[in-house]
Amino acid sequence: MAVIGRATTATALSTGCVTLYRPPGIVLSPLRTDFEMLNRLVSPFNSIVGQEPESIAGALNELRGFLMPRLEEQGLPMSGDFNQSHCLISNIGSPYSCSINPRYSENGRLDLSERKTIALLGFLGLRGFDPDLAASIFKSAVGRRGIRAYWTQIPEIRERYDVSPSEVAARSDHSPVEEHIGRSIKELDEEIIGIPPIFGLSQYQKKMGHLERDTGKRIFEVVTPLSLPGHRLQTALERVAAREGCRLLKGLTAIDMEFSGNHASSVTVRSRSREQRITFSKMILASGNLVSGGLVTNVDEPDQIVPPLQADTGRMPSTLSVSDTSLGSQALRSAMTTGIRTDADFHVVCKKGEVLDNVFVAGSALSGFSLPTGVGLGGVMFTSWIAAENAMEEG
Amino acid sequence: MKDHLIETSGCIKCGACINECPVIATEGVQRFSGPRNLGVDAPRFLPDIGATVDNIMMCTTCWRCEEVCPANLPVPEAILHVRRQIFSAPNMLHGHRRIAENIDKYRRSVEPRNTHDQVSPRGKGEVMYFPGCIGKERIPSIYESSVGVLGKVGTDLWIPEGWVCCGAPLEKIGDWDRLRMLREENMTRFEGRGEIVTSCPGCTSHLIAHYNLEPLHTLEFLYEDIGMSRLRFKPNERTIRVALHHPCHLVRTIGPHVIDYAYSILNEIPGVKLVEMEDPGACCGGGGGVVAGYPDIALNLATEKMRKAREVGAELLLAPCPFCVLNLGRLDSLEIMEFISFVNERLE
Amino acid sequence: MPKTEVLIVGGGVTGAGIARDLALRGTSVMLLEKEDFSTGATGRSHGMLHSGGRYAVKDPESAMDCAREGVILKRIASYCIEDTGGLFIGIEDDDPTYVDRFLRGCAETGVQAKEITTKEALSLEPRLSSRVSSSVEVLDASIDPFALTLGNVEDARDCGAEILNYRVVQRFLVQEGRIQEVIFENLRNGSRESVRPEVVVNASGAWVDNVASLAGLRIPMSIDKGTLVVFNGRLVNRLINRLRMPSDGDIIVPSHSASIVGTTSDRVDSVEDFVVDRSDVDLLISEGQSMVPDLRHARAIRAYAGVRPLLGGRKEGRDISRTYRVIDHEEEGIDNLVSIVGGKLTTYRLMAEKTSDLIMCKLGSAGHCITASEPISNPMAAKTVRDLLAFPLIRMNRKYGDEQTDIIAGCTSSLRGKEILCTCEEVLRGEAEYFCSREDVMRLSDVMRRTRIGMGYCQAGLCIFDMASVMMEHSNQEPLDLIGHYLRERWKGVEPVLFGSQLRQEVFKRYLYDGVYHLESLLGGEAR
Repeated sequence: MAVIGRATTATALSTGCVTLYRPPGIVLSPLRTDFEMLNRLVSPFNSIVGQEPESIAGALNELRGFLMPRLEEQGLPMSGDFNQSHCLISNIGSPYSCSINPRYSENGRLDLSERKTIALLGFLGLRGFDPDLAASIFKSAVGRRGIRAYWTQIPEIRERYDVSPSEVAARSDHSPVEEHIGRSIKELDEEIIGIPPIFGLSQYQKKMGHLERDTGKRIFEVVTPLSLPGHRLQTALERVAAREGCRLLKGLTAIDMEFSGNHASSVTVRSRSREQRITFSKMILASGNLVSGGLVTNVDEPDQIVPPLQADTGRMPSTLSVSDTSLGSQALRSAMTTGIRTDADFHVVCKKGEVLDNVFVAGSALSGFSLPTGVGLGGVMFTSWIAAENAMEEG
Repeated sequence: MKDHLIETSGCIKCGACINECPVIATEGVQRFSGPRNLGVDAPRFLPDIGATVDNIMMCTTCWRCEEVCPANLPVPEAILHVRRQIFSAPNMLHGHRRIAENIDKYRRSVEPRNTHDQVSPRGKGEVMYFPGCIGKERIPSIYESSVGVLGKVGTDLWIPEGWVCCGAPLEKIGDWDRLRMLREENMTRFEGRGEIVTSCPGCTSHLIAHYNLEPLHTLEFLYEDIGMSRLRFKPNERTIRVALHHPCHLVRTIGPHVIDYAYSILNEIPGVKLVEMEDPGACCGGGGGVVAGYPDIALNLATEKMRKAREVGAELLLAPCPFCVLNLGRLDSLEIMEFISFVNERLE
Repeated sequence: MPKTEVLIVGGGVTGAGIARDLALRGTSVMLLEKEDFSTGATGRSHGMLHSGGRYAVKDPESAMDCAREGVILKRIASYCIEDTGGLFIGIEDDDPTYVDRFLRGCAETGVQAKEITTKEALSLEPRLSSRVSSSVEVLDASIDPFALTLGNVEDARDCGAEILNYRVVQRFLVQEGRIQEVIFENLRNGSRESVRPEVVVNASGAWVDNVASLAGLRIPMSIDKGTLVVFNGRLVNRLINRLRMPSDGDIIVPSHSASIVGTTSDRVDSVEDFVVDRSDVDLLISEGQSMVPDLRHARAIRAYAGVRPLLGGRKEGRDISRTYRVIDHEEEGIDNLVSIVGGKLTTYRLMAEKTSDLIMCKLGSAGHCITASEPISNPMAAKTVRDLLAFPLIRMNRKYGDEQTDIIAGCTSSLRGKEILCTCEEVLRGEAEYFCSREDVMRLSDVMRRTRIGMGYCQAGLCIFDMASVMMEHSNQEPLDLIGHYLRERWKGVEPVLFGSQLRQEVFKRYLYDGVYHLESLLGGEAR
């Protein structure tokens, strides 16, 4: 089995958290129950999991059961329970809720009725986290007292600025960053300390664990998109795939697909200078959405990369079409719900109507799965599970 | 000419390129502003692009930025285009001026130091071998072993007489006058014939993009045209721990399949214990004119690469690229060898 | 109660220009602007320093003024002017007789114009359509209206003027045919203040009628809306004008990192009608493409509309003269009120001069106008600074005139000043810090106007948080309020260009803002 694709994915840009289900009656009223919204909007999802929370829970448990131990094995311990009604803190201080998250974000899963004091610690010169801003926004969003902001300097980024977290992560491989940070943390009174992500996959568990033991405090990572957490999750998933026997070919773009009747035989992929044809018995397209490069916009409307396929605007009112951009935010909604057309079992449907029995679509390439409902990677992971199961089942 | 401004206008500021750029990682944005700044942002202020001259030559053209871009924007080409636009002969970096002088004097990007007579295939063959400057003038074992290996597998080679530097380094320094001159001279010598093989990913890539030819890298030729079954390797009792560096231009400008071929070949060689280093595709610092222009940056990146190789206990580091071998070879920390040279040693 | 010799209502380039002119003549001046400086017609203009060619045929008076003032402004305001030059080009189907009328009109009005061949035009501007049939070179230039206004404001302050923004004039107390007292609200804290002026100048642009009515007077205005579209990247090096009778989509202006295509002209009833119609955007793109076909593939990043305050009368839209009028309301029974109406950005200095001359008369003061020779800010060569790369420095040089010395010093001396805050426009954190510490600056868009943060293709995607972070250090306002206000303001310009790459950009921002940061909820569902 081979996984072909681009080197940056939506997963790599994500927060590294997975939201599967948010129960009603959540403590933070501004946050919606996004799962309900998904259910309403997306029919394949609907038909597979039904409307009952229990059946959703059952299916999701299977997914968790498969994924979490394998991620832990790669050095990315995950935790979380989708029935909890607590929240994490994002790097700008907004409350964030998800079901499964890296263990050290979990430490920041705050029960807002807790009396414990929280501190946010920023590193001068590190891009992407301003604890003053985060503390202020969190306070005004959640109305919680007792969250304070501090800054410190660490020698790994002394004299520099705009340092990216991946750079610090690379340095922390052979530098005791955690000891320097630990020293600063020990000076703080607060019991729960939030820091920005600075450890890569190989060091994450070791160094965060060291910090906790060394300082005796609960250390958590703020939830940060476009940075290390997503990158860690992506790397861990790639390694899990490799461990399970997948070959990963990066830097190839699919440009055409060959099929006859309802059966596809091969896909043409291109690197910068060469084209190759790869034959397969089954293909799953997890090529992402408009943002992550799975669909492209020409001047007026999103279109699909691989020619035989058809863009689908998802569950939108029939009066709306993708190119009808005069409708303001409706244009955004259309763009966010556009995907590759499929039938109810995630088989791909081509431009001329052929339903390909051995090509499936999963993830945000499915129409309707990219709405920023805060569901994050949950819905998309789930569809991969379903698509893969379908693919294996059908001989 | 490609419209680089329009082609890079799809940037959505995800920052993936910034996070993956090896030069930013070693030097910091205060010294090297990075791919997005140089390839996407600055060109929008057309009259001000001259101001990028203080750092634009630090890019090694590792091509990672385009690889990680969710929109696959042609950022490296955009950077090379800015270099072309701001090129000014009197203001060349010292090391780049030396390249230009070498071209003028010797028609090579490096000063010829190799005074030995080298093997020269006899006769006019089916397949043209393009030697490339490094293989011929600096690391003669590359030239000799490429010709040797191709000979061992029965390829009927010829080498164009009076060939000159392919011109790839000139594109990197922005000197298109010399680039065009070299291309013209070479095209007359190539006689428009047959298959072409070269050992240097830079040459391969440049001949494809600028000469409209279809050369194969030696690895591609061996794997695709000759086939694994015709490669017979000598038995070897002694095991050697070998790490494989993935040269940027090989993997990213030709294609990732080529390094797969290298792994396949290594798997067949007795006595080779493959050790995988972290991030084998990380740039060694050898490209983009940085060795000549900013030797300290090239050295920093090379040091980092060697550290990763030593960390996994490699005894030998292989790289299917003369520029990588040249740059990494400046450090004495680990034995470095060009891939085909190693194959030649082990081939019967 | 505070007194002043002259009270100016309106902080666009005209009001600021009058303030400077009078202050240079030693007059005590107070200026009240209801929002931030240049948020009216000035900030919504095309950023053109007109050669006058556009008016050479139809509006010779304006053409003459533009031709003369263009030369003057390039001398006194070079710090915010890119002397790009301009081209007038006719496309194959345009009226072929227009060229001659154009050249004749230019000759008669003193507008310098030189006909060149199509080949020359295409070599100067490679992106021009191959269907160019006639070309004329003129002395157009690209001017930054925000920097121009602020330069006038700062210079006036240096001469002792009191220039205040976020002050809304609420009432004129008129007694015995004079405005005795002016009452205004300070939007920062809601407090009511008042001042006793000797003379009041109504320089409120599109609002002149509203302000005049506070004194019981009316000024018939024709409110005309113009829409413009901003494209990513400098697609042209010069201003490109259509060689035909003034119409829609005639002009492309290169400005900093963008190309601005404009404009339209529609009579509207309300001065607050700044909404951009998508049909106007489509029209501008299609007309623009006739001149520069690459606009089809270029990335539109924003559209905006502004209202032109034109003198009312029987004519409509493009037929109304762009010239100005200084109105002495003495004839209508208010001795100490003067209004300045109409005009163009290019002729602001002349308008300010004429207005100030009248004011000086009314005050019985002596003093001649020196604004035609006195530079607003001294242009400087771009510096080399040890700790900064050349690119941000050259950008500062383009934006800040002689203030750049202090700003650069701030960047290098503050702890985080060297960080790049806005990557699209290469703006350093120190630049934001410099302006956030000013009393004038209350909102994120105030910072934007002064530094260009957020004006690039991502439209403040991530730097909105950094801006809020800097602002927090200098203001008591809640970051969420700052962010919410900015997003709501910007949405008006985002919505009309939701296609192509900008659509993708905005989708990406939605994932961040809503998917991760839940901004929509935090802002009470009002983020757009």
